This record gives sequence, C-alpha cells and structure tokens, in this order.
Amino acid sequence: MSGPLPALFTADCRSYASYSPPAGTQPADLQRRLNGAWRTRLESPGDVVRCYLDTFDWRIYRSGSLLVAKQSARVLGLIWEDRRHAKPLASCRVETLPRWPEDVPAGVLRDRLSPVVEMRALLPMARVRSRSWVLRVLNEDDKTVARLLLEQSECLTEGKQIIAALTPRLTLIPVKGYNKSAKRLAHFLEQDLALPLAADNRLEEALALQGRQPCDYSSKLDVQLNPEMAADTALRHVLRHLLGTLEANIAGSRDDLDSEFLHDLRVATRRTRSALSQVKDVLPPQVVTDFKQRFGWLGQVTGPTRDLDVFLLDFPRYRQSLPAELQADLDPLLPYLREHQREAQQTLRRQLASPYFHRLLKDWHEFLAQPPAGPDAGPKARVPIREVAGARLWRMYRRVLREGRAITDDSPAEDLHELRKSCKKLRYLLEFFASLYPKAKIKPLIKQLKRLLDNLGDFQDLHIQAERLRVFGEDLQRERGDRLPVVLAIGTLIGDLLRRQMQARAAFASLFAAFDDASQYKICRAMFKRGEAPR
Amino acid sequence: VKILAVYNIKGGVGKTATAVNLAWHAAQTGLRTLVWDLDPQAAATFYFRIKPKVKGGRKMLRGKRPIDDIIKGTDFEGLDLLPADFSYRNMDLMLGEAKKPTLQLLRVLRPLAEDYDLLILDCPPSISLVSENIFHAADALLVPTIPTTLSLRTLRQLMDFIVRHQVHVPVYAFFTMVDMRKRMHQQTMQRDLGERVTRLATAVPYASSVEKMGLARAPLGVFAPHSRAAQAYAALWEELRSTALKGAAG
Repeated sequence: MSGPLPALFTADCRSYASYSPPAGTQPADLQRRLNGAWRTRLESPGDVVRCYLDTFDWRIYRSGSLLVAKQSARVLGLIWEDRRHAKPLASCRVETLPRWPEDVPAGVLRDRLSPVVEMRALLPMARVRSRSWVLRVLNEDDKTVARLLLEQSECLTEGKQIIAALTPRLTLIPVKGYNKSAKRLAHFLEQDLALPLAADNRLEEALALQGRQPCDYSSKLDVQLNPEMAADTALRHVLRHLLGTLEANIAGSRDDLDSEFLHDLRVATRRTRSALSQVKDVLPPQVVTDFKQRFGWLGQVTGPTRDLDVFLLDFPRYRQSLPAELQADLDPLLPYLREHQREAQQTLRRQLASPYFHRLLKDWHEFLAQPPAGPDAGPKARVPIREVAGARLWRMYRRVLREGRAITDDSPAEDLHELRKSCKKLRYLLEFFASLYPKAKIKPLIKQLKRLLDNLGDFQDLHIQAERLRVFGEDLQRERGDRLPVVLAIGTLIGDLLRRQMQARAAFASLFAAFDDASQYKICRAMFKRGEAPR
Repeated sequence: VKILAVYNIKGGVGKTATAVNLAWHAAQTGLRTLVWDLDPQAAATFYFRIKPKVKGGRKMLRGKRPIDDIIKGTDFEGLDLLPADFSYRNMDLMLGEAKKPTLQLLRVLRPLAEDYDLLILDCPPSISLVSENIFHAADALLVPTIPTTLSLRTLRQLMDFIVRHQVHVPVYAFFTMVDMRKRMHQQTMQRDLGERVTRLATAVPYASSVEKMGLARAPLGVFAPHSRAAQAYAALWEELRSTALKGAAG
C-alpha cells in the first residue's frame, strides 16, 4: 500500500515544544497535575519503533535532515525531517525499510533523498522503541484544542534487545486554529509544572547510549599535527588515522553494502602507500619496503571489483549519452556487468577473509603501536615534521611544475600519465600535512590541483574505459552470440568516450596554466621552502 | 487534491451527515481531509464542536485573507474544517460582484491543493451562483437522494441545469434515509435516474443513530460504530474510493 501516512504519524514532528518530564512519569500522574487547570482525556496507548536511517558517512545528517522509519502496529512510514527545526518536510508509506532511494515510492521524499545519498545505501543507525499516550486537552464544548504526547522510550540493538532507556518526552501538539490554547498550555507546563525543555533529539540520545555520536565516520582525512612533532611520531599519527578509515570500511566492502565502502578502503590503502614512499628517511627502510609491497597487494585484489562498480555506477549515464533509438540496445551490458561484479566480489570477499590480509592488519597495528624512533628508524625520524613535510612538498610541487611545463600539444600520453602520478603524490602530501599550514593558503592550492587532476584523470580513464568497453563487447559477442545491437551501441559509446578524451586533452593547457601561477608559486615557496607562515 | 461536493437542491436529505461521516472515514484511511461548511446553517461545524463564527470570511472570499488562517483542526487527526459563516448568506451577491463569478470558488480553494488530499464541500441547498461555482470546482458531485418522487424530481432539475450550463462534472447519486418497509421507497429505488447519473449501490437507511449525531456531536464511527447507518457510510466510502475518488491518494 502506498499513499499518505495517517496524520498522527507525523504529528510529533509538528510539535509546539517538547519537554523532559521526570523519569518514570506515568500518564495518570500527568493528568493529575493538569487537573484543575485543564480538562483532559486519556486515550489508549500505542507503540512505535523509530529506526533512524542514514548512509555510513552520515550524508543525511550532514545535510541538516533526518530520515526516520516509523513502525506502528499497522503502518510503516518514512519521514524526512528538518533536523534543526524538527519539522517533517516529506513523508510516505513503505512496505519494508528502504536500502536505496529507488526503494522509496516516487514523490517528494525520494526527490529530496536521492541527491543527498547518491550511490550510498541507507543503513539503520539507531532504533528507538516508544510507548506513547495521547492526552487530549479539551475546551468547555469538549472540543480538542491541543494534544499532549507522553513517550517512554528505549534504545534497541539491531536484534531488538533493549540497550537502555531514554529520558521520557512530553510533546505539545497544537490543533490547527487553536494557537492561543497551545500557548497557554506551554506556559502552564513551563511555569506551573516547571518542566524543562527536552534537549537534543532522540537520535543523538540513542547514539550516546551506545557510546556513539552522529558523523563518527568521514572519508575525509583530517589529522591535526603539531609542527614541532618528530617526523616519525607525526607520520605514525597519519598512518594510524588511515588504518582506522581502512578498517571501518572492511565489513561494508566484504558484504558489498554499497560501492563506497570499497572505494574508501582503496583510497585509504593508496594514501597509506603514498605516505610510506613519499615521506622518506623517517620509518625503518625494511618496514617501508615490506608494507608498501603488502598494501600494494591490497590495492591489486580490490581493483577488479572497483572497476566493475564504476561501470555499474556510470551505466545510467552511458545509456543516457546514447541517441534515444540506441539506448535500449545497451541494456544487455547491464546483466553482464552485474554478473562479473558478483564474481569479482566473491573473490574479493575471500581475499578480505584471508589469513594474509589479517596478518597484514595485525602486523601493521603492531608496528604503529611501537614507540617511535627505534634503533632502526630512518635518519630523519627525529627531525620536526614541518621540515620534513616542507622539503618533500616543495620538491613535489616543483616536479609537477617541471613536468607540466614540458608538456606540449604533441606530447605522448605517457608524459601526461607521469604528470598525473606526480600530481596525485602532491595531493596526498598536501592532505597529510594540511594542518601544518594556514587553511586559507592550502585550500585554494588543493582545489586547483584537484581541477588539474580531474582533467588528467578524464584523459587517462576515458581511454581505459573505452578499452574495457571494447573487451566487454568482444566478450558479449563470444559468450552469448548474436549480439550485434549491443556491440554497435558499445561502439557508439566508445566513440563518445574517445571524443571526450580528446576534449580533455585540449583543455589541459589552460588548466595547467591556471595551476602554474606566479603568486601561488611565491606562496608555496614561502610555506614549503622557507617554512614561513606557520600556523 | 480531489474535491467532492455533497449537494442537493432539496434540504433535509442527510447531506451534512454524509459529508461529516465520509470525511471521518477519509481521515481514518490517512487522507488529509478538509470539510468546507458552505451552509450558513452551520450543521457540519456544529457536529465538530467548532464555533461557527469566522472572522474575515468575506475577506477570504475576496482573496484578502489567507484561507489557511481560518481553518480549524477537529478532534480527529488529519481532519480539518473550514467553518460556516453567517456572512455566507450573502455569498451569491459577493460572487456576483467578482469577475468570472463562476470560477471564484476554485480560486479560493487553489492554495489548499498541497495541504490536503481530499476536500469535501458541504453545500447549501437551492440552486444559485454558489452552486454553479461548486459544480465548476468539484471533481465529483455526490447527491444524497431520498427515494421519493419529489426527490427524484429535484435530481432531474439538477441534471437539466448541469446540461443547460454545459458543466462537465460527474454526478453520483445514492439513496439515503431509506425505509425498506415503505413500498414507495422500494419502488422508487427501481426507477431510472437518467444516463448522466451514476447510481451508487450503497443505500443509507433511515436511522435514529444519524439523528443522535446532533447529541453526540461526533461522526457515527466514533459513538455508534456498529449501527447500520455507520456501516452504510463505511460501505459508501469504500464505494466512492473505487469510483468518484479513484486515483485520490491512499
């Protein structure tokens, strides 16, 4: 059944105010305390379970909203709320908890949800079960002029075990056209009954009971370093942070909850390798060689699944880019991609469960837990990080300029590929050590670099994609036979990708010119070479 | 939003009881429902225990006051009421002063489209500029009809008017205040209602419980859910959902 939700379902979000009555307050107590001043009628209680949904990286919460799935005896409804004003902006009925925006019936709620969560899956972040009593407040005609909703709630685990009780909540729900009564009642609750206003929302309270808080995961690298820290200590700090991100994404990658888990895991892996090889002479050399190789393995075994994930994510855009009469011809590619992704995912699952991988994590933990600057540490282990970082950044910045300036319209693709690798190294270094420099100067630099990287990425990736598509086309032809229409559609797509690749190549010169800017050069020289403008 | 007008030229046919009980069922199924009590006698307003006075009812009709300010919530979640106002007795005159007088009601109702799934108009009896406005605004006209000769005659008068004025609103009729012990009722119910009228199968019996609505000041489903009349209104609601209100959300 689709369609609107019963009005009472979202009434608590349209409240006038919420209060925290003393723990254990029973509806009869409340009725007694209101008597004399207000005529009330108690209705039979009801139970609801609220499940707060969000993506692993809290995209809904960060956007200033909440998505609540509310289950009563008969109805399961989704409510999209403005988090700060506790206001329902959209709601609809559903059959089961949605995992993707596409699982939500078409309408206002889905339109708000889709652009926020993009490719990420909706996961239950907290479950709260409430028993609620409605106390109707009546006027002299026995007409309802306001409602009081008393809720006793507890936080549940995924298996519906009780974790702990939340503070009870009393919500004043006004009746349209009776605002004066609502105001007087609010005054009575605040002044005469001295009820404090309820503090935070249920989600925050429920998370706190589980020792969590919203936004406790972000894929962004945000490490605060002290410029005078020994390089060894600072680097381990960065590496520990990256290991945390990597481990946070293992379960989601293994179970393929959505494609971003594996993506974030791979980014953390690449950053780890980059930190190992880019920051030279700090860690023991045999450690660097050993773990670079072992994290390289992780990058390799996660590659095939990620490649296919990207094709699956891009599929709708590919289809859209074709002329209308060819779009349907591309469809046989989708089951092909899905099947291969499934196979790659199964292999990946085995790798992530392998003793080799567990060993890698265990050894890496052990190394990072060791006291820094041991006897076998690199020669720069005790040098302040600002010196080591500055020297490295300055070197890489100049290398990018040198390689970029050497590129002409006739340069071979390999030169652009080399430049891309250098740009990536520079970008990672900037991200590791951003906290050592003024934000206002580092941010524009990273932004410029990102633009350049996007362009270089397009140039290279579009070509690789075109080549991969060619292989898919050959496969489809061989495996299933008689697939001329899909092969032709793929051919059209390849032509389009290669055309875009040429456009990216043409745009390179002006993008690089923007990066190769004289005033930016001065800033970089001051920051990295001379160690000026420290925080 | 769907607009359902409960209308009959003749008074005392159970029009308000129909509007109130159907609105209650609609709200129970989850539709955000608004009843507009257009009858200066204010019976629907009284049933919902709301005071009939509307400050600025005239201003609202002239578009100088937002309609939303005047709406009152009822005792039932999802069911609101636009109360009757004695100034509606002059509504014909007011509408007559406006440009395109037959489309004024539609203009007033337009802002409500987002807030409600269903609008039920409890219309005043008689045929007038107000009724013509209602015919233009409504998605369906629901005509409670007593199975008597006189009643069928007014239904024909209504249909003549609609045809003459080239209004395209679908018309649904059902029998109400039916006393199956009366031969005349039985016979009248067999009669043809004309091809433009859709006849609904549900008949609401004559019942004291309907009269008790005035004492209880509540829909039948609240205080006499097992009465025959309450069950007839429930059946009528279900029948409307699959006919006149097909496609309304819910």
